[in-house]
Amino acid sequence: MQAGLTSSAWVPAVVGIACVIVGIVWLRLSALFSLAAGALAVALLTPAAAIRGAHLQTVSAPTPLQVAQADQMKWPASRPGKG
Amino acid sequence: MAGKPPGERVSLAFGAAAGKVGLLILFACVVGECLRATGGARAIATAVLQLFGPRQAAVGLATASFVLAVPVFFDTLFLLMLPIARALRLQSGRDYLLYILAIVAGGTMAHALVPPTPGPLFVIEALGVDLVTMMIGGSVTGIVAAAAGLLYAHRLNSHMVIPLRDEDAAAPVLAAPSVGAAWACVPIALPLLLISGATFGARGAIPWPATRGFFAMMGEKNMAIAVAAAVALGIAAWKMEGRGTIAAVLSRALQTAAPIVLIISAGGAFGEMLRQTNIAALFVGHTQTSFWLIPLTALVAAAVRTAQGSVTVAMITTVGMVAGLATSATLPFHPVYLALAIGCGAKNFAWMNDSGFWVMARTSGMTERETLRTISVMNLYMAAAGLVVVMLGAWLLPMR
Repeated sequence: MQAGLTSSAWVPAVVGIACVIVGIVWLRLSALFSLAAGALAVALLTPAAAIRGAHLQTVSAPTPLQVAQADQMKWPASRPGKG
Repeated sequence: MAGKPPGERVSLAFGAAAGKVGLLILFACVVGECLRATGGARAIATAVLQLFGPRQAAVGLATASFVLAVPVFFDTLFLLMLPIARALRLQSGRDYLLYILAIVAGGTMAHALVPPTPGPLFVIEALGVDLVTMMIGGSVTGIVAAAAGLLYAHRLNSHMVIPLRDEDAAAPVLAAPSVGAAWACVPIALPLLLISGATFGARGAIPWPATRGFFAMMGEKNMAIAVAAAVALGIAAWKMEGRGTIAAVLSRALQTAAPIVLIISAGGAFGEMLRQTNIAALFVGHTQTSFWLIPLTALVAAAVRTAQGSVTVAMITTVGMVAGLATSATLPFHPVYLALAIGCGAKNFAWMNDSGFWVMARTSGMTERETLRTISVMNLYMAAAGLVVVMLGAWLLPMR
């Protein structure tokens, strides 16, 4: 697990958001530093497997059109002009 | 990105966010600063007020604030419009609260819903929504929400009086603007025209290839806003005296834009890291295929905004959590509705941890209690009205 301390999505997200809120409200830091600290905290706590999962989820979901096209590819004879 | 160390992932995401919105924000700041320095913003406001007449001055103030909040940031807009509200109050002898609330009603919703203000700009980049769609959706939602806010302002004004406390000091000195309203509108309308031309051209609505090619090149959003900034600078150089003035305008625009670009880029890195946690998957199942995703998204934005005060940070954080859903095939409506829900949620309640709250309270002469009872509650009404519009839009016109 690369740089991953936990496998849950909740923990890094909650810690990151807490970093931002504590930085801005309690430490009175600029939003810039609070957001940067939050980003680093989330990155450190996120396991590599989760990153791959998030990537796959955003790129692999087929649209209805893709599904229809895939169905057509399975049955080339039914396409116009193919007899 | 999975194989890269955490620091590099943050750095790459920071650069990607800067690349997406950096130039847009810089050039938008140049346009806004030119409008402020030449008095063009005030000329537009005065023209709109003349159009509506003294009886509908509040509607005129809200309209002018809505239009000007797109190129000018809200704090600057409020300071620009406040002397006009004071002048109207001195003329009429009443309705000071109504005028202040009208400025807030017009300005705040445009700030959270209509790009190229930084928050909406970042959100549409993350969700893959095109600029024109968000501008139209944001304008419709913002106008309805601002109208709801104005209704509330009228009701509040009928039984609550806020005096002009520093009346002697408040006698406004409204210097004559260097440019007229028509010239001042050119750098606002030009990018809209170019971007719309590119959109129509891409959809085959322009039959002439040369014109289509022109709009394809000049209507790309970075190019369109760069042209607007160049035109705004040209008008400023023509109407204002001295080369040093233009240098000062550019310097001030850069000073405004630089921290915003850095914050948005850091927010971009934060949002991307949140997306990589796969937290969007937590929204899947119960809500992804239903309209409840819209109020849920708004609720998350509202919670983050209330907790830390900044609208832009709230929008960035929320979009980081839901960005993964925008590309999903099972989302039953266009992702622009998610962007609008984030904008409405992030505008829910301004209180003491928001810098804008203090700008409005201190400069208008209201106490903290009065500001909470008036502006903060009106924001809540407007956010709710905007959310209703977004849900109705997603239901009646899902665009899927």
